[in-house]
Amino acid sequence: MMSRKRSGMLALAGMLSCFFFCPLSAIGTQQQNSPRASKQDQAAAELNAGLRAYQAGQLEQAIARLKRAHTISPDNPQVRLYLGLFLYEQNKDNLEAQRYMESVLDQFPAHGDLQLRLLDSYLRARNEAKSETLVQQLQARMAADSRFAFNVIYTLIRHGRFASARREIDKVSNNLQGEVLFIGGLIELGSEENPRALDLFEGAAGRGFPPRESRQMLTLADSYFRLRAFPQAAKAYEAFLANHSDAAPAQRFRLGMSYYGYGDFERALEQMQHVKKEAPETPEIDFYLGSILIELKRPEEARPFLQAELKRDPASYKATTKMAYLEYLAGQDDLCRQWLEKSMALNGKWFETHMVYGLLYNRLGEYEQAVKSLEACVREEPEYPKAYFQLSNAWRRLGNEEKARQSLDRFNQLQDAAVSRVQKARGMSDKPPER
Amino acid sequence: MIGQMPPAIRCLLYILAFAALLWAGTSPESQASFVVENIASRAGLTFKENNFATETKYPFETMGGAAAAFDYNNDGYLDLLFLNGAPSPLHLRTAPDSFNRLYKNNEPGLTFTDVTEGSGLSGKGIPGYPQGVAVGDYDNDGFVDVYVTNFGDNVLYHNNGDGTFTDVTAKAGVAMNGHPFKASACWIDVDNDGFLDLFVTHYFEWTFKDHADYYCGDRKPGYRSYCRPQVFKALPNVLFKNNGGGTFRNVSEESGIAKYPGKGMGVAIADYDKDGWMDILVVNDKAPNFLYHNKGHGVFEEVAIDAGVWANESGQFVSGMGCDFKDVNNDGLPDIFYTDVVPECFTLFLNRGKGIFEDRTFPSDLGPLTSAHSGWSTKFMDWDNDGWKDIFVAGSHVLDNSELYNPRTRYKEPCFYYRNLGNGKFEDISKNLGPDFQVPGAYRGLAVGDYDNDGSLEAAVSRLNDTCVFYKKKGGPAGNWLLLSLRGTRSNRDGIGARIEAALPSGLKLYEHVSTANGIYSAGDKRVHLGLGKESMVLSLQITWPSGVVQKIENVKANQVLQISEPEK
Repeated sequence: MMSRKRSGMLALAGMLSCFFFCPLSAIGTQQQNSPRASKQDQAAAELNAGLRAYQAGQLEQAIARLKRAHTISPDNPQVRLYLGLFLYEQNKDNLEAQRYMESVLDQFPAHGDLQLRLLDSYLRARNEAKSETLVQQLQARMAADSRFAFNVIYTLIRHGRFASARREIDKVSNNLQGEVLFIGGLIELGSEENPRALDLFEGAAGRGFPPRESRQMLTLADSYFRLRAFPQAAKAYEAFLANHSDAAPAQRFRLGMSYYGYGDFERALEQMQHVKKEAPETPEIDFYLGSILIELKRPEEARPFLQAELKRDPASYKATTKMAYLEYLAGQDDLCRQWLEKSMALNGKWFETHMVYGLLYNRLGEYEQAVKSLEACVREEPEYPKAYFQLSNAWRRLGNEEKARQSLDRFNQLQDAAVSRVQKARGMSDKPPER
Repeated sequence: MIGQMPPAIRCLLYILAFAALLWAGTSPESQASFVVENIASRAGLTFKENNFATETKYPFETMGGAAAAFDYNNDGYLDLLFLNGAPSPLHLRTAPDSFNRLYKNNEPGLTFTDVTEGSGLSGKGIPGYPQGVAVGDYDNDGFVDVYVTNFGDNVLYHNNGDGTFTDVTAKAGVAMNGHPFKASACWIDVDNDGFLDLFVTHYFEWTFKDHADYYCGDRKPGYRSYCRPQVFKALPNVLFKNNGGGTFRNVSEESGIAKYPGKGMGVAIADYDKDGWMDILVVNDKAPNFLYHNKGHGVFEEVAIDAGVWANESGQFVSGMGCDFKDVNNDGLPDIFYTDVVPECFTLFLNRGKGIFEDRTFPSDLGPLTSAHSGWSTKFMDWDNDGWKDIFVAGSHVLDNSELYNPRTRYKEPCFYYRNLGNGKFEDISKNLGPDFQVPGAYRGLAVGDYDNDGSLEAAVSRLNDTCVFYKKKGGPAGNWLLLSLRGTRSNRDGIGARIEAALPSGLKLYEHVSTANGIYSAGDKRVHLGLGKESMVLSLQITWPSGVVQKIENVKANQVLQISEPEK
């Protein structure tokens, strides 16, 4: 049976074979004509002899040859590297080994064996400060290389450093989980499992994935947008646009739509104005500018945009309905009705057309007609709170208190949820504040 | 006959007839513009409200700023009272910079003298952070009394008739020493017994013990802000019945008022369904409004949802602030207007009869005109005497650091004036009213009245941490007017609740009622001002007194202060 020391030596030799010959032979051939080259050659010869001795299982002889090489060329990093590694093989908490390894740590940043052995040596020597510092130095590599991170954590566990190990495994787990959750979110979204997809995306985002500057951020933004998670979509689009000056106007348009979706109309307007300037042909840009201005209580400023939309697309039932609403707001009931009739002819299932009919009928005191329209509205858009509010008013005027109460309850329920969503997006709360 | 005339003469007659119609009628569009001047300094009104703001942002600091117009010495001219702030946490005022100020009108000349000292109204030594004021002659002795709402116990000052006031709170039993945070108050005879009762709004539940350490806003220097009302518990409002003899009884439970918790700000009164009993409107902050319908004898039912004034047309509960409750479209039915905070828009509900109101905020153009502004106290008033009530709004946001959170908002705003065009529409003429009207401030209280009895109204407005302003109209057509000073005999002496219908020769009718409550925290002239436009007389004046007595006076000449006593029958 092979000894543990011998098996470790072979593993080390196998993993680092390229370091044995390639670089040193190259140095030897390039610098052979100068006195300095002569010294380098001697050092290289000693190093190669040491490595061959190591491969032959003669650790003592290998160390002796490397020490000679170090005497000839004390600054040679490879000599220092292997001297440190071999001394460590000989005695794992050897301080001299640690010093040689430390001296070349920065020069071999990808040398996992060097890093892991140095950490092992510190832990054996119970040098807590140095081991902590080294783990900190290794964070970037651990984040990029989960296998290496696993080896670091495994080393910590072997030495009973469970608290540190837990901390590190949490970090690694988070990094990996972000990616896993993100991919999971895409799978669920593709499978139309929307609530699950949203949870997974939020989990990924909470773990810092995708990174702000990555193009995957756009995928996340688009996914949130598709899920109608508008506050999250807005945040993701903002991150993407801030890092990609080549972003298409369509992406800014969706950012504007996201703000519109959760009631941040000032920001929505800013983005849409930007799009209108950059890409005036963007489909429905005028419709949304008009719609946003209505929400901002600037109906007369909305009018030219809606007229422009209708000029571009006379069959836009959405813009036609908005025109009806503008006339309703202006108190022009006959004009409102005319636009509504046009809109109904274009699309009899558009919820907002029914909503504006409901408003108009309520104003005119035609409550039975209002109920019909508003019920049609909530059939098409069951979660539209304003429709339930108007429906409640209509039922009340008709003397049906029970139906009025039911509609009002539904309004309160939906309105509270909508207000909560907006408040959450804006970091507000109705709960007692912190003290 | 006209048809037989030559075309040229016929045409001339038509032109003359049209011109005569314009001359005789009250056509708002025909009125030229006017400006207003802030004559506060010239008039001797030096009051500066000090809100004693703290870094802790106690909510009552950004409230208050009450103003009241009333004739405390019965010399026929309106005097002015401003309430001040008080240093937290004791709210015990000892220094002059925290005193309330009573200004006596020195008419003629529209100047005032500070008569606070010795009046008993300074608030010196009386604990409490003043919020609102209500004025009314609760004991029918002919002298107007003053009720002050506080954060802390409220105070009732009895007018002794000699220029002094006495704190009679304890005897009257109206301190309200339960929940400390009160807002507005008004005098109203809820049971038509001839004695004014007292209605007081609670804002929300807030005490130093339980809430002083609440931190709202970002945790960065300068970003701490006044907490939103949503985080605090609602409280019911309070009604005190006047027993006569200088005492009151809390009848909130039996009157039905106590059933409805809210976050009351402004209060205004009107008999909106003309059933002879005064009703009460309370505008709540981010909560449904209250319309307390008086079912008779001071028993109320809250009917805001049935009436359609529970929320605006979209079902939103805005940050309700000041309100007024008068007939704005001359159809004989009192309408409702209230202010709020940007990006909400001030709201107008028109009374459609049968107890139903319609949100006409947008059709009236007030929606787009007001959505970028925030307002506090407000009043329907007819500055240009054209017979159509316009709307005055004291502008300002609630949060003194609102710009940090939204650069588009402004804490300090100017006041606003929305002119009634008589066709259901309003126009914002604020910018035309001259430079004095453009000065931004943290405006709060508003006391409107005809301080010099010249038929043209003046507006006194308080500003937090700044001197008050006193706007006087200058230029433009004077317009005819009538100022009615009512004296109840069977009804309460102030005539509060009396309804007035004035028929003009043109056929137009004007409607008013007596009330001193308007806006938020504030009280205005109890006398009724009617703008008559070009009309030189009122054909018929009908007064329906709270007692039920209906009084008719015919052929009343314009441009006079008319004293009217309630007849026995």
